[in-house]
Amino acid sequence: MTSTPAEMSAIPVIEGYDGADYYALMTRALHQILLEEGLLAPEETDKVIAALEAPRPEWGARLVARAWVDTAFKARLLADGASAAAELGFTIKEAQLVVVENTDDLHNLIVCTLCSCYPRSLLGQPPWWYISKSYRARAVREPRAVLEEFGMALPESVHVRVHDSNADMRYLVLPRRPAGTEDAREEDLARLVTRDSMIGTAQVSAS
Amino acid sequence: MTSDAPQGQPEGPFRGYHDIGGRPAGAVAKDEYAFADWQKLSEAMRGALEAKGRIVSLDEIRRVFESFGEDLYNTLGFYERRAEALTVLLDEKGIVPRAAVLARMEAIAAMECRQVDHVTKTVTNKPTISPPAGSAAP
Amino acid sequence: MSAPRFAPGDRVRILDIGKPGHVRIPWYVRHKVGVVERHCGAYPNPEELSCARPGLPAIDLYRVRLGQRDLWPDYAGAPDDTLEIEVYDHWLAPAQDDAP
Repeated sequence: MTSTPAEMSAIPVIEGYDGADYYALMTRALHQILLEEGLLAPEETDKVIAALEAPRPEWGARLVARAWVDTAFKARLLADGASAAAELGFTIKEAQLVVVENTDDLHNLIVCTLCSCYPRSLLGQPPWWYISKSYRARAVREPRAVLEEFGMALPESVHVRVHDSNADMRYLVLPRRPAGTEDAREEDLARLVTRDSMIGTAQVSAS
Repeated sequence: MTSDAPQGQPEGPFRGYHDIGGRPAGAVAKDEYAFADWQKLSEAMRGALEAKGRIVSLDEIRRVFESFGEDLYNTLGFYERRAEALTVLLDEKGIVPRAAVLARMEAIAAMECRQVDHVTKTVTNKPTISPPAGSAAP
Repeated sequence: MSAPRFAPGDRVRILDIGKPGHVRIPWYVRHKVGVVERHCGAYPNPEELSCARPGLPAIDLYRVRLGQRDLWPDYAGAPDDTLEIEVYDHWLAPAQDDAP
């Protein structure tokens, strides 16, 4: 698909950083007022901040590695992601975690076109490219071009399936286990799994 | 901008400016930034107010930034538009007047020798007044 | 709670219910025909939640699979590439009559 320069400039490529000083100040001002008015106590935001900071891609990687070594767990993870995550001690706070499996002939890619829905309670904050308007706009219409920009040129024989995370579900890609890791231990496998591979913009490699 | 509607399909009256799936856009920038402290606090205020008897909700925040104007939406990044929407929503619900937030921003900035411009949404250092040349400090 | 109106495999048309305000069904899937992939459960209506109403009774939510070629006539990928998206019951109609 071709875009004219005018169209390309219609959507900013990256989420702006220019307004950060202004909104940092607005946030401080609003916080002061909420505290003074008794609408919030300091510990109430501290508690939420701790919950925002705890999840990280390594949590998702543990689910992936377990699924690679334990086919029964994998079946449970694909059937009900939140319950399977709870088995490893991870609480999914969104309504449900839908896990989609990559195979030799199917590749899954996750996007939220309307805002930036993401399994934050498992993986933490999404990468900046995921919340960029450019990714939101293009991933549904030209997923293969977007994947190429991430270094993944897929042959036509591999079916590409995009998931628009537009409502209550949240999504995790179960990437393919790399060749040559048949004897690897679960914890070593988990270290190979990257954030991007669980969104679908990367494959997992053996090293 | 030309319509990117598939041939023969009208672009309905209710396509919001945030509804950008399928629109042409440039390459995806892969720069990574830290999750800044103010972004955490902003998200945490919304989360804490939501946990507290649903004083606000994420769906309301979305409704606000989907209606506060296309120019502002296009200008602001993800966390900025959610912070803006939180202030607008608290004002709309009669919980915290927006004017009070803007006034507090000016007061904080003044204490830090900075000034706020609510139109350009910038915060800058106040120009320092240099002593006249030749004057000696007492 | 009544049984879901659709089952996996059912052909459905995604509607454009012409509703202003906060809705979660993006423009590019409206008027399109797809197949129900799964029933996701029932959830409060976000259109109501966005106006501080309770959004109850909860509405059945489905994942619908669509062909990329049906979404974008100029789609440049493989012919059988697909897209899946969540759609609330009130945005869906049966599409048996549309079968080719």
